[in-house]
Amino acid sequence: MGQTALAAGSNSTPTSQALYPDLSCPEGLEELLSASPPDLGTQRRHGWNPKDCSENIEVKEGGLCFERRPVAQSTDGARGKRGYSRGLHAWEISWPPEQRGTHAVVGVATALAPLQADHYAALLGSNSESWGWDIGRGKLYHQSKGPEAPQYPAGFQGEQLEVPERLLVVLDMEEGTLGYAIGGTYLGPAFRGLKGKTLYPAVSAVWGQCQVRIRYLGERRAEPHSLLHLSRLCVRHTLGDTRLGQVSALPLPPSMKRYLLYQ
Amino acid sequence: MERRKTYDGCEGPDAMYVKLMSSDAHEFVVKREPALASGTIKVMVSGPGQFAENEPIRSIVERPLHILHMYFTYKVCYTKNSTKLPIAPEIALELVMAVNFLDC
Repeated sequence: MGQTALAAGSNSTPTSQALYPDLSCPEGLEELLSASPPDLGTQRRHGWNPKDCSENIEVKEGGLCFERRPVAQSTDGARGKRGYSRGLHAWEISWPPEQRGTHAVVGVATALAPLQADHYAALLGSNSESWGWDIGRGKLYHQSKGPEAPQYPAGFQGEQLEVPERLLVVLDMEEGTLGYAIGGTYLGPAFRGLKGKTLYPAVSAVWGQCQVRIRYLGERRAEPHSLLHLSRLCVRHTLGDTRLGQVSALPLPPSMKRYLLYQ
Repeated sequence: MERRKTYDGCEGPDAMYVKLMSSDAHEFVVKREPALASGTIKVMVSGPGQFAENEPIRSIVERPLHILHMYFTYKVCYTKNSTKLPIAPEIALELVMAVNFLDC
């Protein structure tokens, strides 16, 4: 489960031939990225969770950004508010290169992955509940402490891709893959075997006062929502956030009121 | 809603269409296959059992049935690039009740 898949990024290195020409750009990714991006409210709903992060992390702007406090000998992580178990999702992480330090890891985690460690480490990916790309060393971690971790993208043989400030994380829960994209180029699946899990955006950081932003770009579902769920969304939207308490006054049986409130 | 198959194309177990009738006498003739997205309709048309033809089961008025009809087509045509299904806010409550019964 969660074994890494090595894929060659043939676009940017003319000299190295792709050994595994399986870039397998997830179906629907182009449409997802060319659609208009979600509004700030949606981005916040899919942003960092202030209740689900290391105590050394302060989530700001309603979830759009976090800052790691300069605590010595601590690695700290954060999870997104929403976990994904179906569909294709993408989000953009903005992490200034001068704020990465020795261990900057970007990826996903289940709800169980620890988000804090009392030493500097590549925390994300060091256990069975998380998967991460070390954007400093270019290595992929899952159940790994580092030394034998594979390089990503694989075709680079010693030269390392410089990861710019912004990178995309592409999670395909239909195929069960996690991959990354830089500058509009999908680098291939980094991890496979993720189907059936519920995975949250996650990073782990060691740099004091680093600011890491997350911008959710949207979802492509494999199947349409049920009409019941679509109707629920319509009722909730019509009431608005401030009047959701009035669901109890609606002329509906109790079970339907609970359904409208996601209970 | 009553289920009645009285027109050509709506009769018999292999009919290509089914006719949905609301309690306020609006009729929708819809293709049978997409309508099976509703678990309840699937049970109704799949043979003898608890639902008799022409017997009103529950009162469902025309407006939510109209959205239901759209939903069947929407579901069949759904691709990963789909746009939203428009639901007017004023019928949302009726729709929630009707769709809960129809299981789709």
